[in-house]
Amino acid sequence: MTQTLAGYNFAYLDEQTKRMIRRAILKAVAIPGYQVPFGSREMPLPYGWGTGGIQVTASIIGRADVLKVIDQGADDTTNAISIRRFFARTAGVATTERTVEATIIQTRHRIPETPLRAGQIMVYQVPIPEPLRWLEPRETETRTMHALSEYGAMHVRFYEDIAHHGRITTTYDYPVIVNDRYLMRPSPIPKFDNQKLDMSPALQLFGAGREKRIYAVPPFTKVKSLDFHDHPFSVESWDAACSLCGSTTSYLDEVLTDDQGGRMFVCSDTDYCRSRTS
Amino acid sequence: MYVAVKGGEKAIDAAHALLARERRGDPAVPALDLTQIAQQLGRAVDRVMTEGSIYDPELAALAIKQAMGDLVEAIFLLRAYRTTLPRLAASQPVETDRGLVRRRISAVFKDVPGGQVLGSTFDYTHRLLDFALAAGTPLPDPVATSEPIGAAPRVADMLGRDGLIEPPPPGDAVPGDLTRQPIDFPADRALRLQNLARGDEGWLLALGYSTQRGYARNHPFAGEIRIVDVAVEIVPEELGFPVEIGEITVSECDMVNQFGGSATAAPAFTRGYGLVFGQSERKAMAMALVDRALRARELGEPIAAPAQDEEFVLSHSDNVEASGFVQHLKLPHHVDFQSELDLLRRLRAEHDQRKTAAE
Amino acid sequence: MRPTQAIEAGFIDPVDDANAVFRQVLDALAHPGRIVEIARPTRVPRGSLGRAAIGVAMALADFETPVWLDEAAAPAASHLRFHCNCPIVSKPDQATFLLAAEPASVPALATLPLGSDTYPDQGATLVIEVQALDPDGSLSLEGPGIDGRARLGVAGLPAGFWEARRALAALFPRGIDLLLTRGDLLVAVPRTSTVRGS
Repeated sequence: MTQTLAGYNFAYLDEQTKRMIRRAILKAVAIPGYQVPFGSREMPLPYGWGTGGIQVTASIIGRADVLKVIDQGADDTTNAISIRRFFARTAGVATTERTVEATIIQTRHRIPETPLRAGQIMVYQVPIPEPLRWLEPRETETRTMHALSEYGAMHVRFYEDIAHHGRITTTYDYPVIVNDRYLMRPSPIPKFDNQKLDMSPALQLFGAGREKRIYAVPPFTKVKSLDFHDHPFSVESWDAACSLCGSTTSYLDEVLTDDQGGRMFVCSDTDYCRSRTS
Repeated sequence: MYVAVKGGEKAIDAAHALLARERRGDPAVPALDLTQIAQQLGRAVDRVMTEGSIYDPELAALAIKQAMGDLVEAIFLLRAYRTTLPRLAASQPVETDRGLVRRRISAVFKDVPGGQVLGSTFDYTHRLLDFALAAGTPLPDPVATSEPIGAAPRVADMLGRDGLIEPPPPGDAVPGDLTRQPIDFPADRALRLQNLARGDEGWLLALGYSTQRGYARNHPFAGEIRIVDVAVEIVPEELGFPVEIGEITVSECDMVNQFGGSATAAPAFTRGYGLVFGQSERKAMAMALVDRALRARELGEPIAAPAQDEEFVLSHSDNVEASGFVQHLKLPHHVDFQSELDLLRRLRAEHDQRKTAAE
Repeated sequence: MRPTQAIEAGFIDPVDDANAVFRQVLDALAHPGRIVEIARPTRVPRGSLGRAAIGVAMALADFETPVWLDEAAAPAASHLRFHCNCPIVSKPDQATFLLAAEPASVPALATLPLGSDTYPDQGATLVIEVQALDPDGSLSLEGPGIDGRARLGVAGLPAGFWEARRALAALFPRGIDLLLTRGDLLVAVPRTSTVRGS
């Protein structure tokens, strides 16, 4: 078979590494929300810039796949371009900006507005996989807390938020319970996107390269955002509509237009926005 | 009208071109070649090889050139290359008491078998900027270097003969490999030492220093620092005996620390160990201090100081990880920031309402 | 040491074939009860394991994953050792992958590696070659990956197999992930699937 980048294997990773990551992915799917440790490799892109997602994508991608890469919902942000180019160079696969055309979507910080369909695979770039990390910095402790399903500390933390601010102040990377068992970080997506995780027909894979963890949410799996009866989970909303496509239901980026307080709002999902204007 | 951030592809290409031009500098000035870097910036090459985990001065020189002298970036380049290499064999442990001793210092005995060998060192240079060097100082006459020492037993081994220092750890266990398996805590000493050897020199230096200032004081003496050329051997399965595949220079430090001992074991000095590629004795010494501090658990000492906290020390030692994650903050975060703005505006509105209601 | 008997060829294209098999297994595991077809490798070794079972081992096993084979699957040992470089172990509780060509020879499920509460991913993957897989059988599956309920028919498992598996549910997250194969066909029943019927 022809190799796209001289001297490197298809999709950069060697086959032994892919096999190790594939085994981790399969166990992650079998135990939804549980963080599987894996022998994360050093990638030619910096840690914190998507090395986990890249390793997951490199391990699953085949020649027939169509890849979409987004950062902040957009295909044309520099890091998304850089990662898309990486796979175009190392795997020679087709890439797309259209959500509906993609078989694999690697993302940082957003889930597309266009509903995902069965057969698609979402790959999330994860900076910190451990939902309990801000409460307990030690891996040895948090591992035991997961084993015992001991998540009271997270509820206490939210309760303190409510006592202090009148509401839960976590706005992104908002913790969820997967399949009624594991507390999971959905990666730093705005909580607006949390509802898309629940019972999605797509397979969702999460890769944390620096922290060396892979986890997954299979299709049709219950994903519940943590909340209280008297403080139900709620998401961001805007009084404005998208200035480009007029959407009132999508996640909006605020853009400053001058230094006099002028601002406008546009869809964060550039493909969604374009599909509504063209 | 609003213009979305477009043209990212072009911007990236332009940034790469700009970087390449800046790297080269004024084309009228001769370009550095790798031999110049490998020979004249040897300490940088040694550090990059150590923390990049490949012994190859030529590659390290290339990485330093490519990274424009940014050593952490050069380390990253080597690491990313290293990952793609096949693993052909595991070497035998190197024997640092055999080979050409370039430098060998013991601070605990006035003289030792094999002698004290000063070697090449900055130690007693007066740190005066040498303006003559800028003009190109003529090379000093060749110096009679110390004879290669046939047998230079290690100071720690000599202490061990009388039982004054704890025995070295048994070496029969196959060590784990933290480049293949994520480290798990508590980590055994072999994995801790692997982590420290690859760890950032500045991180180890600061932690080692902290132990000297009372945060995990363990009364260290520099039992021995040696810089030695050692043979690297492998045992090919089909041959069944060791074959030398090359020679490397390493810096080794044995720290001798205050006594352990218990009801059953007689008091004895304890060990801290550092080993790095090339001539990097600052790092080897710092590593030995931190290694000793991290042995608190097995030696039954209270774990109270940062340098004794293995999860803290080992999880933050890697400068490729740290550099990436610190700098990822410059990636766009405007989606999450929008979430925070939304929340903050609500909180401020609610605050104003409460304030108005109270007035 | 070279195996004495002739070894069948492995994957024709090690990169694409391994990827294709993996993606099918991933699809199966993400959709418990869904029967997928594993079309590689082209040749399979002598013995009673079908292409799907051999393909799983070739795509996923290597020197880091001990493999256990039952007696009927044993003829595949030299093939797997050669192509995967995987240790073949005689004790089922030491295996990462267990391949059984004769369902009755599967050791008691509770004695297999189930992982621990802190590392449930160390639970084994058990591959059983069964007599038939039927998308419309008497078993009913629920759980992650399944939109509502899935039906499945499996012929050839010993009596009491599903009861024994149900008994493991209380141990979750510890558990075994099952891959049932029949020739080229494969269906996954991960530890999270609730299986009713028999």
